[in-house]
Amino acid sequence: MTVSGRKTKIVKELKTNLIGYVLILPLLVGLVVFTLYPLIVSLVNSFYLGYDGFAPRSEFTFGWGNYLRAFTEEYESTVFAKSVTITFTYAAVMVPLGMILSFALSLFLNRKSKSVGAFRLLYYLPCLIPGIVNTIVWRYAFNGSYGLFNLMRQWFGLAPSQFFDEPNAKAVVTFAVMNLFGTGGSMLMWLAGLKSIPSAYYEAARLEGSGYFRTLIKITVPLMTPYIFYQLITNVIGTLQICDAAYMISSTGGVENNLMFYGLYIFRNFQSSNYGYAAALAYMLFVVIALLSAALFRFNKYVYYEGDD
Amino acid sequence: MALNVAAKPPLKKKKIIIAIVTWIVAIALAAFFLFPFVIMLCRSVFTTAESLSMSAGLIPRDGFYFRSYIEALDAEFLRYLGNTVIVIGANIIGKPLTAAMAAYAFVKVKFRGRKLIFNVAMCTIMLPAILTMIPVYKIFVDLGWNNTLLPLTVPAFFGGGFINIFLIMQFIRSLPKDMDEAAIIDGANVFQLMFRITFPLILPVISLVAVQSFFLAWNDFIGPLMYLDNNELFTLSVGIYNKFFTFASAADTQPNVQMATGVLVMIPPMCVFMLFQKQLIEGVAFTGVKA
Repeated sequence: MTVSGRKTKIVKELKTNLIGYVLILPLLVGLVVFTLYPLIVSLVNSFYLGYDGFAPRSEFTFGWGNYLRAFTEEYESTVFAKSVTITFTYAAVMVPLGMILSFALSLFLNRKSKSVGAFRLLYYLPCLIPGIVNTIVWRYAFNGSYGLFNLMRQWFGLAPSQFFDEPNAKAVVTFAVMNLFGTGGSMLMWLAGLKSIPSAYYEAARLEGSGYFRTLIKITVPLMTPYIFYQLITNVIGTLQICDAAYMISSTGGVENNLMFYGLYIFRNFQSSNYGYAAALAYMLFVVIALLSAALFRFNKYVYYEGDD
Repeated sequence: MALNVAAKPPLKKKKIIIAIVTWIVAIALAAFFLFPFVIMLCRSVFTTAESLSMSAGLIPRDGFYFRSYIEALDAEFLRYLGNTVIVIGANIIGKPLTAAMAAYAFVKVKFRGRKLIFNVAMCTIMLPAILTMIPVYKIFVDLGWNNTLLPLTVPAFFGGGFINIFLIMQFIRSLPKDMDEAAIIDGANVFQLMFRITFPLILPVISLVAVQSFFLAWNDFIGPLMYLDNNELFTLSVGIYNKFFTFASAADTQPNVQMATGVLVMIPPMCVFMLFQKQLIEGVAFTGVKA
């Protein structure tokens, strides 16, 4: 290779790198400024007990104080325990329940008929309601004095309920009922998965004389495992981070903190300038999510991916 | 479903019953999912007194009260709408554009360190947003951008979310390469290739990202809540929330106006959804499983 040839090659490579970095620059800056740097700052903040975000850090005690606070301080530890209980119980019940219900819906709609498209759209519609509009509707329907659901309770001879403002777990149950209207979102995803299953499998099963439930268990569910796996992970992670819906329904976290989901608990601490404590809470959530994801990824070996036998 | 059941008389009785039951279940489910819409539309035209009474009725006894819509659509609402439009404008331009640029670079430009950047960005998908939220807030406060719309608009121009980048990358990978080669022979540079050849071909996925950004920005509550405390700057969700739910007393005064407000806030996303229905539903499927 001649000298000038090598030179043009180097110039060309430099040019390629330059173009690449120009194109990637927004992402790169965003990644550093809005993700990596905040991650480090959050970690540092979490070790300064009572850090409020404005006074210099040197005025605060360094150590595990914020982390211990969630378990030892009299008031915070009760709220912390309550929010952890609410959040994890909710995730443990509502993630599987939501998946089963939406899967049943998609099985129901997975047929060849012109009317299916219309029903699919109808079932999906509530997912398009903006959060604030949801709040307006459900605070009205679940109103403690004139709400429609209290009228229904009256028909069945039940005493009126305060729903979101109940001083016990009924508040979370109301929240769960409200979220059932969003089942259509997962349904769409299941439907896409069901469509990808080759009809030849069903044809073969039918010829073998396999019944509906046998086909469901032996063919549909195994072929849907990638979708099940994906939904499980995203739903668990999403549920553990519930914040804005709970905030809108009850900005203070409900009567006696009955709607204090963990995400909301962090946010409330941010609002009252407990930056250090909020950072510690967020990091604990992060560790739990990472561990849970790792645990869930162990199920990956049961997932059937088309074409990698 | 039950199409043309009557056209074939020798059908078994069992099949007819199954078809009827299927229809009943389908319609009952539809009624369930439409409940929030029905209640909102019906109660928005009730008089204030009647909307405050406990009744199962869908048709107003005291006559239709359309003034609730006029009351809902006051100057404040229009100002919130204006602010929301500004935020949305930035988001539906910034996110698809910067995400497409990054996606193009990752797929087509063989620059050094692209694998490292890609992997780091990939790892950040799993991070809970709340973890980075407070330091980002602090950055904007230190910049003096607190109580402006900048924290809600400027971040849209920094990559547009890695999931979107990933989505666009998948799309670019599926494009045929011979058009690029032909253009290179004709002496086109990278930017010409990108804007003239690739971007027009990936318009479907770009518009999907834009529409999804629209929904995110339209629904965003926590962002405006954190950064704005001036009624002049509120976006719809925070403005309406403050109006109706900040003071317990205000919440229970005019449910009919609240419902009318709800209907108004819902109209734009519904229209956008109807326009881009096919892409959005396919988008759910596409982002669904690419593990």
